[in-house]
Amino acid sequence: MLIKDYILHLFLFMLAVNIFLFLFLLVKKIYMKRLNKKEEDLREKYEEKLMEYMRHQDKTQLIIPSNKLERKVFQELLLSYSSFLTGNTKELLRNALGKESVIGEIKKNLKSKNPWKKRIATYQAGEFGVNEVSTKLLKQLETNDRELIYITARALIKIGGKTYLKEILREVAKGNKMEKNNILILIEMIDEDIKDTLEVMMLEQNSFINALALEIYGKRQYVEGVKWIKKMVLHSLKEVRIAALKGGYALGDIGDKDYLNRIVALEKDKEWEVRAFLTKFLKNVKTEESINILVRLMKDPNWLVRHNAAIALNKQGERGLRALIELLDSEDRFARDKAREVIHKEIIFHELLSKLEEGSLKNKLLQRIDTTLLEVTENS
Amino acid sequence: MISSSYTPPLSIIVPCYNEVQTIVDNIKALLSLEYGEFQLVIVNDGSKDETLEILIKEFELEKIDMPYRRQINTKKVKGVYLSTIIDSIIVLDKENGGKADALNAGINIAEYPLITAIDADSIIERNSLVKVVRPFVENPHVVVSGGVVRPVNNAIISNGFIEEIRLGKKSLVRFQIVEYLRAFLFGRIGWGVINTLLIISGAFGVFNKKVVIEAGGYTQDTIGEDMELIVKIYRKMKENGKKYKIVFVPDPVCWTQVPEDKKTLKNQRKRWHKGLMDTMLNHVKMLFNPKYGAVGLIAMPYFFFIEMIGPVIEIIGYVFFILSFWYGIISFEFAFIFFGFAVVYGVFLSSGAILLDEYNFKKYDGIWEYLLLIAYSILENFGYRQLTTWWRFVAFWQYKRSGNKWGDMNRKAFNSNATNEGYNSKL
Repeated sequence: MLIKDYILHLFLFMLAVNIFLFLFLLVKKIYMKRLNKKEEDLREKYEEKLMEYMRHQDKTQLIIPSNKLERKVFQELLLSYSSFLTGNTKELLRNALGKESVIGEIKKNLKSKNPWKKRIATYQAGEFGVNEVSTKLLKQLETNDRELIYITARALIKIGGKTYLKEILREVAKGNKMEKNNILILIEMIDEDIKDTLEVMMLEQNSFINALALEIYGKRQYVEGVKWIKKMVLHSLKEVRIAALKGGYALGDIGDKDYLNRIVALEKDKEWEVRAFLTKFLKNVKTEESINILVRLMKDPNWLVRHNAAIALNKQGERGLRALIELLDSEDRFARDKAREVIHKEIIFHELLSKLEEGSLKNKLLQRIDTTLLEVTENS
Repeated sequence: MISSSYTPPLSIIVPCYNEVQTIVDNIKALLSLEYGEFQLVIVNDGSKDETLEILIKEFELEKIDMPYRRQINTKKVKGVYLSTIIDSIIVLDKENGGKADALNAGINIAEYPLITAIDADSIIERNSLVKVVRPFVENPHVVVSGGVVRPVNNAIISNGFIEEIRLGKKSLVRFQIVEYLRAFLFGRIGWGVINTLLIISGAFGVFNKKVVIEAGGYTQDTIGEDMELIVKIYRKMKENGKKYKIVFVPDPVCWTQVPEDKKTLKNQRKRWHKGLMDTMLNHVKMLFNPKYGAVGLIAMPYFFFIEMIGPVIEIIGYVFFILSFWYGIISFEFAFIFFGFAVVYGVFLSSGAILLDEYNFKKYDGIWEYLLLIAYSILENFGYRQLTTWWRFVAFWQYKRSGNKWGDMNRKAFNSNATNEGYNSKL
């Protein structure tokens, strides 16, 4: 065969493929356009009735879907309103949709090899509260698909609240399968009291779980975490010491001298990240000692520690401001500039000068800030 | 599912140069993005118009003395401004130094671990940032993530967001839509799969700030700073033996204006080609070098021989083809069949991209739009393709190592007929 014939055959083949693709897409588009219109009309109808039901709790308002398309539209609608639906209402609507068919479909898709089908089914299991698949979901936590782990953990929490929390944490702690912040977001979804679970988490020989628990104690304002924070500020891992500081920061100054002393001892910590978090913690501790520590930390070799210390000093009221004014003459240029920036911001954005009463502090501030700063302030 | 997940804080760097017409609308649109915690770092790169003044007025900016770590060298920063009404806005006013310099200045002052550079004339879909950042949460080795850029000309825009997508009235725009579809939905998905993506569009990419700083930031004496940065990151990561992943996410979309006249399009394509050549020649050491893995063995050779030298070969091919036909070496029939095959193959690639778009994203939903896209994917083979190849061919021969500047582009304010100058570097 000549080259020309080969190319002719290829040309005809590609032409046929193109014509097929064109017609296939055209037919699909026409079909989908009609289907979308139908779905839109149905959604409007169902949404109106659902709203009526949610307002008046009148079951007669609900339309029971009668075919596949109607069920699909109704299911999508329920998923989009899922966060506004409570237990009984959710159960009733799930029954209207056909409880067995929903569970059956979820179970089928959970077995699917298609990762998207699996993810969607997992999400639906959580939103519809399908307790029947919780064992399967617990097993699914062992996957290495990070997105599926997140959706699975979320679904389990939606289904059982704190029931499966320990299992979830143990699984995600293996090989760092989930971002800490993602876990914290998931735990925020639990309304129940989880003090007992946190106690168990602290007893685990796993620094990742311990660190998580310390942060949660703070987030949930559980003072029961104080004993653990006191202990964990001495932990050998900096991540755990930081988590203790984060927990402590959220709890604030609880007036426990021993607790404060143990935390402020981290001023000498060898890790700069720990010292940076200590400065954050000291924002909430309004004592002479914390100001002294922050002033010392303004000389820290790490710039971020000095940066945080300046910001923390600004939160210490007049005494902090006095310390910042002193720092305007610091030998360290960064400390000097940072103190200047913090004072400058306070003057511009929080009307510091007009807030300060006439007296020695205001005079001192006016004397120490240089003309450039004043010019900017006056213009502003 | 997506919005419920954690999103790390992000600094959005908006470099601008003479963007007085569009800057306020764009900043307002960026402020309404669906994203957890972010700051906007607007860098005024010595604009000659009133870009800075309009920003000061609109967002009630105040100049402030603010120390920051200058980890990448840039032209002098004349002032740092903070907004008195919106906490998350910070504006840098600096001496003109080009887009790369503006981006570097933004990186220096950016507060958060992830950064993205968004052109002031682009529009991001509300939930795009969450989608493009997701790979960073899912995989700790991800260092760069990029999304899709699409032409926005003639779309209906309200308050900085797109209300209705339209194909554009001008043929030149429609040709570019087909081109963008092919480039993003075919090429980049494939390169992303084998972790050899060399281009993350300057209009829409998210970077790990630390990695960008380690790579030295955006290169200032090049035209194609986007590609240059990605190649530098690959190099750095490979040379330091670090695990990394550069990913492309086809769903999040950033819409941008594309040239509507031949002159601007010509300049843009020539700039792109010279930018590509800059990067290829800067990193020629990586070519066929097994030390750089698939990037050195597959991606670099592809970009070198197909993208960079391709236009030269194509033009020589056209000349030989015509000469062969003229001198009777090949018959009219052969010439016709061969050309026909080249056209149907090109149409196949475009149809494939349209098919992918239809199945996954459905951005151009109407039947009439579909027919137009198919028509333009056929028509582009008769003139448009040859024209762009010719521009790239000319750029190849005109190439010499040169300094960078902001490309000129007649840009329309969204929803108005006014024009101004700025830059463009998207595909």
